[in-house]
Amino acid sequence: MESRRGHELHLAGITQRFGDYVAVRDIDLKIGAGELVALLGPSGCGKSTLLRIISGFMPQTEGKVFFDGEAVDHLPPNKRGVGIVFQNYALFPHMTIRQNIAYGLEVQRVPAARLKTRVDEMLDLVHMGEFAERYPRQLSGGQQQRIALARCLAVDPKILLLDEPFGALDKNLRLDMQIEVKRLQREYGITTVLVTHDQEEALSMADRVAVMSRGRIEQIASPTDIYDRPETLFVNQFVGSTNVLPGIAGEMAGAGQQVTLACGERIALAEGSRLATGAQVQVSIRPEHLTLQTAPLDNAITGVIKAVMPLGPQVLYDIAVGDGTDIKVSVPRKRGDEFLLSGTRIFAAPVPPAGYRAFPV
Amino acid sequence: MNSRNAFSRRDFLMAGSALGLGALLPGLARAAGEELVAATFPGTWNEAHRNILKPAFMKGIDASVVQSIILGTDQISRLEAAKGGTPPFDVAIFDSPQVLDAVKQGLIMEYPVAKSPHYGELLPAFQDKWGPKISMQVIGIAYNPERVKTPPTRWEDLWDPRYKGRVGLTALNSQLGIAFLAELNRIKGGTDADFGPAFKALRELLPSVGAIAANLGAYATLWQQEQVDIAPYNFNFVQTLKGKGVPVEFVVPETGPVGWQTSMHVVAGSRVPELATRYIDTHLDAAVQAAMMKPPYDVIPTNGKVALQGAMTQTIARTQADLEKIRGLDWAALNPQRSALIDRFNREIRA
Amino acid sequence: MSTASTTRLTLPLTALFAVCFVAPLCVLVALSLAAGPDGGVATIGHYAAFVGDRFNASILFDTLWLGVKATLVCLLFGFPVAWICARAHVRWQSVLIFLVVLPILTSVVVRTFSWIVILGRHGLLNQIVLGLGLADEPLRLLYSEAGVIIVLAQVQMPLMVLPILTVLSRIDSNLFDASQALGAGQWRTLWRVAVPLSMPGIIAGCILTYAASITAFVTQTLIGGARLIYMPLFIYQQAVGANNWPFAAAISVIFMVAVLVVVAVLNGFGRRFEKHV
Repeated sequence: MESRRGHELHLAGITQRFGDYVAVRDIDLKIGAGELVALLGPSGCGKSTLLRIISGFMPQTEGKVFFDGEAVDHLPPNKRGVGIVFQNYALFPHMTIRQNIAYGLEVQRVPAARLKTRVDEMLDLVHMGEFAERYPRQLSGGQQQRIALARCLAVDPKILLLDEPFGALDKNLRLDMQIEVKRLQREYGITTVLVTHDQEEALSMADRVAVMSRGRIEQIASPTDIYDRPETLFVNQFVGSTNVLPGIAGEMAGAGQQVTLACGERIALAEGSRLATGAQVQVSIRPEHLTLQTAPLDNAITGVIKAVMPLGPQVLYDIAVGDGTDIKVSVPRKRGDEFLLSGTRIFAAPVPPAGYRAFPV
Repeated sequence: MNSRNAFSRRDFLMAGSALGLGALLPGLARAAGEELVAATFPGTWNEAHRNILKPAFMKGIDASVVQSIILGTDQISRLEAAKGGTPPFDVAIFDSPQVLDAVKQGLIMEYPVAKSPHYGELLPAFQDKWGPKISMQVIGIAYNPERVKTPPTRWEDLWDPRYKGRVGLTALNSQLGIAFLAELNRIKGGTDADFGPAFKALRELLPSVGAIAANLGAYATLWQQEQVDIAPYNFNFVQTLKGKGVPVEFVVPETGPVGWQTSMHVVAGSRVPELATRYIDTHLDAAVQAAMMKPPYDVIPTNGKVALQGAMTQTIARTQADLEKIRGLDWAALNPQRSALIDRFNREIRA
Repeated sequence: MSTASTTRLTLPLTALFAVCFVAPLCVLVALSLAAGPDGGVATIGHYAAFVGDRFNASILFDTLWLGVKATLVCLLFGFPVAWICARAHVRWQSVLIFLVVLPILTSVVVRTFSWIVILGRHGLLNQIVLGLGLADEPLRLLYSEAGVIIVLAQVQMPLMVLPILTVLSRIDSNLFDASQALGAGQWRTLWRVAVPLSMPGIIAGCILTYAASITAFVTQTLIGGARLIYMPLFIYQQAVGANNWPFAAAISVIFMVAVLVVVAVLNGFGRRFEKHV
């Protein structure tokens, strides 16, 4: 009975205002059939508002929502065919697990025999068959999560919305569940929107990540591009960590543009940068994209090691550069390596293909 | 700091506890003037007592009076409960039937006639050693002149099919209810030992009855809401309603006025019997009774010096001599049957 | 805290309870066993008299049944009111709750008298009915059981709404969204999710409304009149009208026991639901 073909979701020019406050501003987003897109951003960025608009709980001020090219704006939440998994799972506490999963099927007036088979099927899918007659409060967080997902998938929704679904789980369980959900999503080929403020979750699960800030999508791209080729300083800073150094754009020199940093160094940006000469810029480089040497290096920033922090598989160095700002450099830890000592004068340069990226201020 | 103006914490505490003590022991605080607690009935009586009797009583004495609104039957139960201790009030106000109960149970003392200068001015019928009669209650037929075009003349008019669904009655826990039932019984040929004729007539009346009020307060509301158009009622209450603009008139049926007396008594065990006597005596004063006779009170006077005036002279009595002729009821015979009558009435009328 | 000091702390409350409730109750029971007004030998004659008379038993039954009807009407209107309050925007919520609580701030007597004005022969309701041509004659609302039920339901409404509202507003609103997202409409969500989850509040509200309705002397007598005799008026008549205190005490005890039984049944019903919530 389930169609394994996913559905297309298209948000066209969505704007949501609450009085003078604009929660979501002119969002255009197309999600392909079977695709998993994560809406990533800090709280208040508008991602939850967008989720309520897609599900029909909140009518948008402007714009349209299309499922497979058809506008669904006139449909109430119970007619849209959108499945939601809530952060707190929202299982009905007065019903058994079986009754919870059967709820949506009963609404569709599925005949009793088919209903039972379907519920059993869903219980098997999430490996929870033996818990059918328990009540939600008798289950652990992870188990409740599985049931919430099974309840959702049982009615074969067109679009699956996951609202911070792993927020309430502890770290180890979270990873297991992320793998599990990803498996089910693939198996079902269901178009999915994941709302989260956890970048690891977004990067590990999504086909594409939309980073949101103040009601806008800053960048939508594959996890690799988001991480390696952030288009804005916000994306760069919000996803992963980065060193930010102020400077002034200079001439083009070969492939990359020159920048004079406030600390006095002159460096060359990665290819493709085109900034107006003389413009104020912020230069960004991730700690793990830098390498350290005591001998001089091309395109390097010089500094003195202030602190050494061995963090398991990485060693993090805190380095003071010219004008008193600090940068961090993360170096993979190999067996037998000796740490550089505090006070050592070093050169830090990008490891290709990574390079310095600059954003206008 | 100026030590003369300094208010030490000890001073403050002492002042505070003095205030607290005052609140806890009002008796101590008011030791200067004595306090009298007098019972009064709700409605017209309460207003007349507050506006006329209280100021007249307070003139020239250093005492205070609290007028407490309690029904006669409630007064009996409260006095019974307090027997042996200090009674909750000093002056009781009763209708005729309760006086018998109060005397039997020793709740009131004999009225000190010698200390009551106005007692002698009462008509002989209103003098009583247990306490002077201060007024009379007379019952008749009340009707809404806007809807009952021909004024009724006989009790039997209540049974007139024209008034089907518009007749009002009151339950037997009021004197009005018992008095009407007793008068009906007499007309229909019953005796105090046999109320069969009254209940038979009542059963015939029931289809016409629009409402039976559970108490006199609700009865007045029936008239204000024009829920009923014709019903037995007290002369006084009709005058009160008329004063409020309710369309209602009062007639005495051709079988003559029926009524009972209202009296005041010094409660046995009162700590201020002189004050109580003085309060009751004030009520006997011709000036006070004349003031109470005026609308909106229309209280029937019992002092021989007060010439009858107003609405009562058109319906009840032209002169004082007529007052003494108003038929009373044999409460000594009725009182013991009260419980049985209420029970029977309940069974007859229950919807 | 040690048990001893806990006991000591509850002492004032226990004493208050004993003085204000247990002692009067003992007096009541003792009085109900007295042969006559002046005491005399203990007798269960008054109880026997009540039970042996079908008229009395029918008054008790009518009173308990009146409570059931008034409670059901109150629930029928009270639940939606609580539901609207709980789901309303925060700004409106305080206004709505104020409106719900408002009747408590006026005396029952005043509220009942206002109803007399509304239900009377020439009252507001009848003027509307006659004005719209829905009836030729004024409806008989005052002094009818229907009138008593309507007024009791309105007068006791806060007692029903407040406990339900308290429970409803504690329910996670995601549950309602989850139900809708699974395809259920508002009514199914109400019936399958909101009602079962607010059962503890509904039961509490019903117990309060029921107890208040069957003992509402003022409303019962002013709206119902003397022809509809319920237990409070019956007790009052026996005590004050007929001066038959022992009998009045006996029927009070019987009434109290009957009410306790009903409340206990409701309470047991509520326990069953609380287990799952």
